[in-house]
Amino acid sequence: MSNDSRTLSRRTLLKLMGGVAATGMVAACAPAVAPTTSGGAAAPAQADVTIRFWNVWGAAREELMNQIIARFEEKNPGIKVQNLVQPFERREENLFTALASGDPPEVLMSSRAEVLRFANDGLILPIDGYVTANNLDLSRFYPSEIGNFYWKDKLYSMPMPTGGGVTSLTLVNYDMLRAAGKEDQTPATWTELEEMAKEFTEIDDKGIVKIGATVGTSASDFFAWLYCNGGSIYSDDLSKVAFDSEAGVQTLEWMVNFTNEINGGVQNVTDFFAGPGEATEAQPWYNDAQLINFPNVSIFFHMQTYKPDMQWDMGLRPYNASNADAKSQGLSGETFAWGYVVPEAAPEAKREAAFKWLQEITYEEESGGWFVMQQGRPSPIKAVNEDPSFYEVNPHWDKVLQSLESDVSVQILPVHAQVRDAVNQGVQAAFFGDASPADALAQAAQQAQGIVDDYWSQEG
Amino acid sequence: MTAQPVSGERVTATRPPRRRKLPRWLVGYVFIAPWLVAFVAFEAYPILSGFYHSFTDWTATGKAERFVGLDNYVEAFTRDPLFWKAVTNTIYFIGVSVPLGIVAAFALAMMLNSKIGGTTAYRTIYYLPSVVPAVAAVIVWVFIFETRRGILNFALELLGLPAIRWLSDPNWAMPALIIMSLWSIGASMIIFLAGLQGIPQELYEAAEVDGANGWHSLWRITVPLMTPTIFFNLIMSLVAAFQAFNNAFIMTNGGPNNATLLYMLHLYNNAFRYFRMGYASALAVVLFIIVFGLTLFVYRSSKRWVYYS
Amino acid sequence: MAVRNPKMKLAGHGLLHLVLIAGSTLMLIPLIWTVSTSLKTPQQVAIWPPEWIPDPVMWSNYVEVFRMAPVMLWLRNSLVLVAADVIGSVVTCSFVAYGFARVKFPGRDALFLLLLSTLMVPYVVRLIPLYVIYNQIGWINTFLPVTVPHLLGRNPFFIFLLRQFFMGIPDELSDAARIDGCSEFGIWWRIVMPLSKPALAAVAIFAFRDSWDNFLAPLVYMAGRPDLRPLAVGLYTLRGGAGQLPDTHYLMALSTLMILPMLIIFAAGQRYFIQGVTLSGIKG
Repeated sequence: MSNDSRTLSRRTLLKLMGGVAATGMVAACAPAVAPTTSGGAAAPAQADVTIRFWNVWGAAREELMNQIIARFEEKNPGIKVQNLVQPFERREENLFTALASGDPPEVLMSSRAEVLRFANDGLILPIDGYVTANNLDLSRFYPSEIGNFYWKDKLYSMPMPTGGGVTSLTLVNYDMLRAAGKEDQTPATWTELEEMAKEFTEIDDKGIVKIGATVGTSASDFFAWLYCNGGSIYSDDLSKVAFDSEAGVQTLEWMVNFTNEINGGVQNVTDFFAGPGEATEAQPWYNDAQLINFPNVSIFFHMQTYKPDMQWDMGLRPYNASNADAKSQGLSGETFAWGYVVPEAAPEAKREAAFKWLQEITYEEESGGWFVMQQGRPSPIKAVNEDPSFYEVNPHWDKVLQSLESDVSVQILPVHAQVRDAVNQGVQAAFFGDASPADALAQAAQQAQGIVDDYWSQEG
Repeated sequence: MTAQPVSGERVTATRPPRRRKLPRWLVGYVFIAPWLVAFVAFEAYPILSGFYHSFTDWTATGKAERFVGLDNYVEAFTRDPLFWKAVTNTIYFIGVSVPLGIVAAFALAMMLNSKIGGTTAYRTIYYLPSVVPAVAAVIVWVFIFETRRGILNFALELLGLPAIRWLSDPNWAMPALIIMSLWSIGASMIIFLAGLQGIPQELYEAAEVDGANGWHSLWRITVPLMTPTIFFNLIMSLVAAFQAFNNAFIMTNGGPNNATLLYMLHLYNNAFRYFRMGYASALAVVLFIIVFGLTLFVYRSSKRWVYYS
Repeated sequence: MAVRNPKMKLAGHGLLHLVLIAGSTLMLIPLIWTVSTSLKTPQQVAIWPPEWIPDPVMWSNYVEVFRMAPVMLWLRNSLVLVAADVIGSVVTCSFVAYGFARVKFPGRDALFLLLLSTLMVPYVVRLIPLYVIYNQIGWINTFLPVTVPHLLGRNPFFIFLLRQFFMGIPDELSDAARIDGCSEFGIWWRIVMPLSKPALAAVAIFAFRDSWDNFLAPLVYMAGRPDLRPLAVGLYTLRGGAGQLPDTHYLMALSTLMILPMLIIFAAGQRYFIQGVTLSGIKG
């Protein structure tokens, strides 16, 4: 069809049109789903169950996943897994529509906030029964990791990869320190961070040339620093928002002052990191233009690719030493922690197989564990991370493990995405000088509390 | 059923009554039948369902929905702090980008319809930005708007003007989005070009004989005869601009400080990020009423300024 | 248009060219950019500010991208979508538009407003109900949701556009044909269609572009069948995301390849804007 069509003659058009109808019909007839099949061309008499596995592990990772599937299918004759890799673009719409349709895939990869939402609305199945029946030992996971997938005392997923290690890591470029004739040092407190940042940030008339550090400008950054200042997002019973506490106001004030005084304002920071895009070699971090970085765990793999000879070290996220209650702490599950869920709409006959596959990609060391290890990332399974080969990718691996141990699983509500956006409004207002940090947070808290109250009033 | 070649002489015969197989009104319905079928099958239910759900707290996650009356509407107008922000941003975007886009596309079509040579190449070039896939375009746009080394600021520097923080300054992010929208005037230009082909050359020649200059011909011949096309482009630009989403979604995600939070972006967030389908439906109904009202206004007024032959 | 003095005319043309060339430079940037990036190594892609002319020039990206991704499969799928959209738009939409433009029937104006109004309902609130319909009739994970509505002339934009053009065609022509015994269908096919070539060409160009670039509908309605993905969806799988490194050079190579057919269609359709339609004999 594609080879010879220089000009679309009427005949070719008609042929194409016929092709459309024919392809459409064939596609319509071929059951993409094969419900409790038999009669498929390839499958003989065997009663196969096909699990549609919906995920965003694209590119090189698709191949890794296919290897896991091959092994799984060998172990479990009768179960077929279809690897439905989706583009990351417009992920929410795609996932949400599939799930709301009444005929969703049997296993879906989704973020923690989504998992809680789906669990709350009764859209997905708890896995406690399966876990008990198969004697799964959940203590193999870090408590903060498995803790992310409980809602109202029921477990809905197991983790893979880690949700932690997102906010606790603090990396320092020693090449830059040494070139400037400074001692090797990793900041442990807010004051140390300020001092190091001040020394290395260079600004000219067009903005930042080199940056010591940025404390970030979004709600997620605010939450990360809040937990290093003894604060929390919600009250323990999740009935009240708590980020507008004294610690919260102090945190936001510190962030705004840091950004204005050291980096010349929020726009300078945005501009400095705009351009080449995330995860590319042109980022300042790979070009000796950024001294301190607060990345997530996927950076080790990127550093191996982009700047393997860099001298660096790492510590935990600096805390506010002037606050006696504060300590370094990482958040697990506030933003992205990936889980895998089985929809309530999955037919009985497929559920057992779906749970089995869920177990394979999360719980099994040689599958779920192996998958993240291949990417140089830590696993939520503690034992996997003890493999010495991690040190080849990352000489400071012990500190990654330390950070994972220090992580807390933040308790969040199913309406957290909305709460986070409300906080983001306040954080932005403070950074752009529309309101003082205290006023901005008070405003955001009022907004967020309304969302939380709405949620609880609907729960009855 | 012998259709006579059209090109020939005018037929001035009287009109004898013809036997018709179908009554005329039915003929009309036969013509629009394919669309009607598609409408009933694929449009009616989703639209009605959206209208219905705007009075509920539907989440689309399978949770039982409750009827909440006008609550979603009340929330939008009184309690949602971002609603009015989104409305004013959208008015700003439309108020500037639609008139600019139409005037620019019309001027371009006029220039490329004249006999100056090289028009084929120009037309292709001006249409080009419309065919660059969106993924690729975003990567390009980031480079164009970049503060320190971007192309746009480089050009400003050549003119001796200070650099602008296009995407990080709340005052400039919206102008940046508008500039982006102007980049793709190629489509409107094509429609105008197609429209210009319908204007008989003889009219200009006659006008020239009468001593009219280019300016006169433009206002007396071109613009009046182009009103159906202008009308079309105006309505379509309005409809499209009200639902503008992609660029704000990908480039700025509503920021900085909500400066590019367009209405559709707010609607999207409520629907797919907050699972508030009921509220999003109410926002959609409000949008619909505004756009429909405006379109109806233009449509009604068109009887006064649009000339069909 | 009616400048008499040849010198002034020349000066006017010169000025026009100047303006047009300046504009062209701006318009060409995205394309040059896309092509230039498509010829880089990942390392060159990462150089900031970017270089316009890569060194070395990686022609091999264009071969590699076919090995990286099932491009031919995506292309086949894209052609199916494009064919449905173009045929539906040129034939069905013009058919419907004729009804709205040139046949008087009760309820016509109201129905036309209804047609326009469907453009104003944001897709966000339609997506899920539509998905439910398609699911009930077994169309999910087939081409049908992205072909059948188009074949039925579902695109109000094109119907509206063609209606505008059809309304501009003088009545005398159809009257004459009617006298000769031509039915309304004959008038549509034999008289109005040939006279509307510029508009039809525009519609074909747009329909081609829209379906060639259509991302969301194929993504959502065929999510369970990666083998039915068109190029526009496939392209995004090269984008990265979720901590994965982007293959920007391949992405740009494929983008460049995707631009080519659209330019060819445009060049083919352009003919009709130049040749013009002479309505002279009619207007008199």
